[in-house]
Amino acid sequence: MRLLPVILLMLPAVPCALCAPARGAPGARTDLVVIVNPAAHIAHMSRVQVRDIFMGRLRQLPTGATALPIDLSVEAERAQFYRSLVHWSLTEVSSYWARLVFSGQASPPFRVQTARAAVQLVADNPNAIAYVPRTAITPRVRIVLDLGSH
Amino acid sequence: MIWAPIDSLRRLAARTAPRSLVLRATALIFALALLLGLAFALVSARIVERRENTRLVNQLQQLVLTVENTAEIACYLHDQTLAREIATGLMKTDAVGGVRISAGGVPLYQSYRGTVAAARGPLTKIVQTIHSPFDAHSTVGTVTLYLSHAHLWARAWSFTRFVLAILAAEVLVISAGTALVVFVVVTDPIKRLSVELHRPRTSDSPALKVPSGNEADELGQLVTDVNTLLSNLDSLVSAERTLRIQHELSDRKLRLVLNQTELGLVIMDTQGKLQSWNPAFVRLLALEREPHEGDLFSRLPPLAQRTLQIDNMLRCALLGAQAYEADLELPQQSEASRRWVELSVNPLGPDQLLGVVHDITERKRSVAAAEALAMRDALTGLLNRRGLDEALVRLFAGGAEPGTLALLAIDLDWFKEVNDTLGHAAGDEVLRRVGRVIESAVRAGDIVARIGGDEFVTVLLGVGHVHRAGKIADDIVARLAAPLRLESGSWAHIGASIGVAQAYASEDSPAALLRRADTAMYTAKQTGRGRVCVAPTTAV
Repeated sequence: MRLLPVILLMLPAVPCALCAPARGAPGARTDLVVIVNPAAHIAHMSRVQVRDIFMGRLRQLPTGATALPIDLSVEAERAQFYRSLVHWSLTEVSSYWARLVFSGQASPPFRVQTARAAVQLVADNPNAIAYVPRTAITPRVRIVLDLGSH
Repeated sequence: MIWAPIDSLRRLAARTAPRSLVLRATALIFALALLLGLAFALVSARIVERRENTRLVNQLQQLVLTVENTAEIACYLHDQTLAREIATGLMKTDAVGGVRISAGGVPLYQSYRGTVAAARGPLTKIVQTIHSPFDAHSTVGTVTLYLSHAHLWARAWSFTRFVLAILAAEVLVISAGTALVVFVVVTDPIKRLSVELHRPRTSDSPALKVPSGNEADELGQLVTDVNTLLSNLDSLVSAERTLRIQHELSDRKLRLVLNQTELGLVIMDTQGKLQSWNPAFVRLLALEREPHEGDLFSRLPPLAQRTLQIDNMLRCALLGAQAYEADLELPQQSEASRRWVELSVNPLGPDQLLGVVHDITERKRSVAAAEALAMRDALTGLLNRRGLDEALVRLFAGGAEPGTLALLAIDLDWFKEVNDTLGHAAGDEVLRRVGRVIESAVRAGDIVARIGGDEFVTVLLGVGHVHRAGKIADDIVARLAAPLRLESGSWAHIGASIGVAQAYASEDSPAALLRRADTAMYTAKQTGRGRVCVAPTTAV
């Protein structure tokens, strides 16, 4: 009889737990990959290179072509990307870009809403570089870095 | 070279140093505190500067850390704008003299204050390595902060000024306090003691009082010592006074004695100049007026005739160191007031002589009297043999004109019979009467003497011719031929034989005269007694 209030309290948590994977809760991760256009002629990129591009340090791809980093607005993946790449929280990344918007010369990456849009953009643009869940890639893009699920 | 200013400083200090103990002590304390204060201020300024340096460096260090995150981004991105923003922010801190942000060896932005830019020599700076915001192991740039020395010194100086102010206040307070304490504890009691000592002291004024609370310390000891000194002084003074009174007393006694004494005393210097004398001296020498100091002794009026002799006396006294005496007769008006004094001179110390004048008139008179007595025949009062001899010697030596003396040798004829018959008392009376008879027969100035049992001599003066002497002799014989009535009532028949001799005009002596008269008398006796025989007037 004593356990009844506890069970009743735990009930709302069940659907949350079930929904978690869809929401990208800390427990579930997506396998992220960094993609570029095949026309960029880049086979492989290091984490550092990706980082430098996405954080505004480098504006060029290793080949010398102008880089166009694409940011995914999907919070879970974005968070995971930055956590994996620079070990920062999104808040920190936001504040990073907020500072630079007013005083710096760098500008934040272009934002797209969905992974499909990101893939599309990369397929159409040889300068683009984005990160998407592996499940979202198509043959029209090339993977240059595998971030895994960390 | 160094000593000259120090020396003049010392002299200046000596000239301007205040007299008062309090002021001197205060001035010294103040000067010392000032010197020490200055020394400490200098040392502390140095220390403060160093500490401030360290503090500011720490401050800069921390300052850099505050912008580290942003600097990481700026260096990472080679973002000059961001770098400038960071530098501007940093330069707002006064301690920062200059900022340089470099990324990858290339300066992104730098800015310096004027003083730092113009400064020569090494500058204090801190260099912070900036890492990648994403990779702590990878260096992306440096931020260099330069310390603003002007700021450093300004801060150090403000602190030092503060310290100096505190030290100055401390110096003043300590000096004043010390001066006050010194005054209250030391100098004021001393001053009070000094004032007490200054007051004129009477013989019964109490000893100095020990200030309360000072019994056991140096002041108490000092006061005790001073009191001991004062009491010693008092006893010395009273002892001296007693001695002085005694001295005056004995002096007075001496003066009394000297004034009363019959001895005339005079003290002279080695030249015979009078220094001091007593009343008896003046009286004995019958000085008409009081002598003056410096008068020569040997030239005093009564002694003027004996100046040389007296000077000699003085000289001998000085040389021989013995007393010398001389009997001096003082010149007098009349025979009756003849005076004799005995003068002795004794050395008195190395440079003084003591003269003693002693009236010996009485003694002289007694001596004369005694001498006179020795010349007289006690029974008859006439001269005796000695007296006669003396008189004859005197007459022959000087005075009587030669050839004006006549000597009568008178011998009684029947005296022995009278003596045997009527006794010695009668005999004495006869002799006395005979003496008177002879005296009455001659003049007052003539000499009458009894030279033997019944032998008489008379010397007639001023007799130029023997005839005259013979006449007188006849007279005496006639008078003595008459019987004498004695006191007892008996009659004495004496009779006399007289020999007369006239002194020669030249080459004669008392003995010869006497002998001639004697011979003549003997002849008179031989030829029948009761007669006169005259000695031949020419030498045989």
